[in-house]
Amino acid sequence: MTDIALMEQVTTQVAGHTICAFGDAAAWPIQGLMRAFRPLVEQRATDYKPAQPLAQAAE
Amino acid sequence: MAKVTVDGIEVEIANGSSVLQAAEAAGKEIPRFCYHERLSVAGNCRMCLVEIEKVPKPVASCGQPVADGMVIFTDTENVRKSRRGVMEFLLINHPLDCPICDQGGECDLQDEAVSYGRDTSRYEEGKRAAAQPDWGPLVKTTMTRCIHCTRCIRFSTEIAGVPELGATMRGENMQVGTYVDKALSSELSGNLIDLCPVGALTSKPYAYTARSWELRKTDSVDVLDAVGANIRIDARGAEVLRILPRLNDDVNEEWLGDKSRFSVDGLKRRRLDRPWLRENGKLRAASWEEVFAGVTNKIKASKPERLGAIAGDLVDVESMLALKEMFTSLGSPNLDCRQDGAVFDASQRGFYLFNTTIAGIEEADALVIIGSNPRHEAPVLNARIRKRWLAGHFEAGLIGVPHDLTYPTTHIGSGPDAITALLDGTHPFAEVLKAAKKPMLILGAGALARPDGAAIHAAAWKLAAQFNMLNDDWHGFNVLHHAAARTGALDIGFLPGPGGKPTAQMLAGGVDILWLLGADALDTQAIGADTFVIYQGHHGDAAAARADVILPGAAYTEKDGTYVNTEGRVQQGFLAVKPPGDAREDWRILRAISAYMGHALRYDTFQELRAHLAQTYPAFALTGELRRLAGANLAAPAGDPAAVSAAPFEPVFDNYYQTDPISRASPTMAACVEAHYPNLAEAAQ
Repeated sequence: MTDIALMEQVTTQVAGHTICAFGDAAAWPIQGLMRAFRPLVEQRATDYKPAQPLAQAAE
Repeated sequence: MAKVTVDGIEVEIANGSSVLQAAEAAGKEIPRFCYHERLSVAGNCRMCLVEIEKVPKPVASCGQPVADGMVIFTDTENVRKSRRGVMEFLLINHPLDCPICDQGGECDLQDEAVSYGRDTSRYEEGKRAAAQPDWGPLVKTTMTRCIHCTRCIRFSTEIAGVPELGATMRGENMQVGTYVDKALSSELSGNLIDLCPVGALTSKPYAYTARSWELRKTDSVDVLDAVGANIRIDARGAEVLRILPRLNDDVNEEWLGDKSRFSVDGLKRRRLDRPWLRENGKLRAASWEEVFAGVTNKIKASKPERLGAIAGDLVDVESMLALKEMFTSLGSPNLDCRQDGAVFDASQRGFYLFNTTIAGIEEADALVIIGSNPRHEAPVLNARIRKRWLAGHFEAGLIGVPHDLTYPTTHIGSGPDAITALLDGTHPFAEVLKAAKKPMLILGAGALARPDGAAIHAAAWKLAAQFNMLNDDWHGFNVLHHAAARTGALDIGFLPGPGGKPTAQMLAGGVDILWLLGADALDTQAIGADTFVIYQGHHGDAAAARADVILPGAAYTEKDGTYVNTEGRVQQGFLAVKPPGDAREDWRILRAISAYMGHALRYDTFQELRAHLAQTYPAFALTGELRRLAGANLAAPAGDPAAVSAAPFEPVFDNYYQTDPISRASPTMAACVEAHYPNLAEAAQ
């Protein structure tokens, strides 16, 4: 959850501060996603369980 | 002019200026990393963001031109927030190695992080790794610290004129480098270290030596070429640790040649720190009393016209004046400051000065270089010529050995006959000169150090007169010296008096006692076997090995002194550290010895000597500034322009890095020779 807040805050540091339009273009989709689907993203993040234990996945 | 308001302060500024310049005019400081006054605008660090009324986004002030009626805010909450954001991104990949970074204490990033940095990092991923390329013996790279400001790239392409640096890859993976590992081939590469706002480019010889706040800083003047670049000597205790350029728009802007900057380690090696006396063919250490007595007896036993003195390349004017007056009181007319053997008419100041002045180069629109390689003889001056060329509508011609001078030149010819071709109008470059409004010529000091030097001098003057270079408001005749002491010595007339012998005759057995004041660049083999040689200087170089008496003097960092640069600008250097061991300031040695001989010089303190200098030679009363000489209605120098020989011009130096006793003693300069002139380095071993 803290990651989501951090990510959203960082987009505000990028959007509007770059020479390159790609700066805005990279930041806006994340802002849009969070504005519209934040509950869903949070839901998915909490529900997520690795299908296998990590140690096994690494093998 | 545009009228803009910066934080409520109204300023007027020229059209086309940037918002950042307007803010500076209003006294507001804008943090910046990529922007530099003397480089093109890149606008990629984003640190200089400001707010402008009616503009929705914050604007990078370095690249935004002002418009009339603009209202600028440099310190609002929004601006600070943006800058904090930029700073956080810059620090994401910047390692936290300030404790082991040489830039610490004089780092722009460190300073700005105090104002705009966060107390902790929110970044938890791994930081970027970068290769550490080898850029030669002078510049140390730590590319993990690079913040991609591209100042170094812009400097090497624009100012230094060696487009060797570039960026590969993009974004986080961008790497500044030379594409293939190689040493930077510029004589100005040390300036990259000053330009780098972080610790990515630091000085290799100075690495891990000192912190900036431990150093004692002394303003001085560089003497390793004749440009007289303004420098700051940083010393700790009795040791000079580094030399940095000082700002002077009329001379060196803010650049400094590599030799001048990195020769410092030569100042503590091969030093003469006690008097020496030759006995039975071997030098032995002696006391001052012994050598004073020895020299006095020797001189008293000799006839005055059999005494001679030659002044070297790095000597201050005061010492030369003391030596000259001592010899005059002894009755000897044998004085010469031109140890390269040049003989030319120095009766007028305009005959041997860089009359156009260094800043004046920017007004010229055509240039002929005769027998000189300014890139090696005066790299900072060469950068000024390149700056003029970059501004457009400028043609340069070269007579002599063809070189890459970092700007295109038309090669007119290799020898003095090319001057004749220009005078006759048979070479097409004559048309360029004819069409030019402010043409100038640069006559290298090397071209004068030939048997036909006086004729070349006269021919060059004739060229200047014929092609409209000598006007009321324009003096286009320039001599480019490569020895810092030369102009000053010519100014005080350190030249053969009536019946006096010039250098060549003094060496060829014309004198019994030869006093060498720091003169190392002459052919010591040529000195007659019976000549008693007194060497007064600071380094155990070629001349000291030949000497019968060695008087240990002070190097330029160890004494106050006046130097005159090739333009005729009188500048003063100051003592940064004391001379090592028993060595003393040169004028003091001369004063003491003159008392031993019963011809005591009239001054007891340096202040008295300096006052005496200014009184005797009014040119020395004006320090730092320069009055340009008018070029109209001048008599031509003596010499027959037609008497030039056909021999092609030779380069003065075989390499840039080792040209004087200090740089020859410097291991850093030796490493540079090894890197850039492998053939020379091999031959030396």
